[in-house]
Amino acid sequence: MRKSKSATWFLPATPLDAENHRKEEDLKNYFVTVLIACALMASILVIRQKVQAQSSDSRPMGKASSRADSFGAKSEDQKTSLNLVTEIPAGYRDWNMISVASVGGKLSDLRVKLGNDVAIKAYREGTIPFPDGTIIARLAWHRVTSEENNVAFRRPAERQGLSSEETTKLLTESFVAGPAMNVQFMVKDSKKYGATGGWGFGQFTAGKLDNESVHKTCFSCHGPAKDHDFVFTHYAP
Amino acid sequence: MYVMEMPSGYRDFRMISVAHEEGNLHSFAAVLGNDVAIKAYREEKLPFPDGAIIAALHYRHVSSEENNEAFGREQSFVPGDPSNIQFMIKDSKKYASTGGWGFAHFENGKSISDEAKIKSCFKCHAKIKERDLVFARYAP
Repeated sequence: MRKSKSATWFLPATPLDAENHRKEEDLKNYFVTVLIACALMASILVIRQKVQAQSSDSRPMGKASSRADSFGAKSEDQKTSLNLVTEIPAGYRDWNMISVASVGGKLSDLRVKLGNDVAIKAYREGTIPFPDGTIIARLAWHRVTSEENNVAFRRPAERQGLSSEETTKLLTESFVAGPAMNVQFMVKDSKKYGATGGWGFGQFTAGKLDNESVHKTCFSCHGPAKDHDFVFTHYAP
Repeated sequence: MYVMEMPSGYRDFRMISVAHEEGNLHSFAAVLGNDVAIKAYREEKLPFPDGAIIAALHYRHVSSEENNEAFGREQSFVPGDPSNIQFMIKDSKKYASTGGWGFAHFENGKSISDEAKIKSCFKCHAKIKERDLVFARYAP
């Protein structure tokens, strides 16, 4: 009863009046359609209210989060402009050697440059600029003297005619790779990293990307090597 | 008995470590290993199995002018001319008299591995018996 009553309330008067004998089925269909429409309207209203309630509830937070958002966006921008390599390229420790090097002064390290297949091919063929897909890895370790090596070296060195002092000097100036310092990558993608000579830069310490300030000088420092596509390292034969 | 030919493809071996002699030698050493050697290193397998080859590529240690210009001070050192390449080749039968290792020394692509040279190699390496006569440790 109630059903048909509420249904007739919604029905346009004229067609009903004209066709008093409309089938019960038609009426039902009309009713269902109207009910669905109502349910939709209601749920839209509820959702709107909820959203409004949420945003007013979290007004103080809203400010903080919008600040966080803009900060996040800023750091995202910076990441983009610095063209950071954010992930360690897989399998880099299996790459072929390009060269070795050491930096004195405060760093006092030993380093190795490895290249993926694209890099090694370009180096061997003398291709400059490096093609997209090139990745160069720079692994650095603290340089240390090796006690076990030096124990073994001492006598043969002395037997070769070196004095004890000379031998000591030789051994204290004989270095091997000690604890790992960090790993750096240059990844070539002329489109993605167009603003920094086509190179993305990334330095990782203990497997984690170092903070942005570390990366601010990557590209500018590599600038003088522009003639060699911003790459300092030459291939060691 | 002596290694007269350079193991093929050694420049494609993977890296074990790097070393540097400052004093009289003034050299860089890049130590590379073939697949057998790298596998043994990573699995910390001692003694090294037969078939292991370790290559030490030695270069002169020179200051890099172009790098120093970028750094603003003299602090960058790179490999200069290659000075020699040394190999250790594991074959416990063939090289039984020298701890299972064949030692070789090449200069300008030529083996100058005579008896005196190999003896001096072995004598020094024999001192690190607990590491199967191999000085170089794997750099992480």
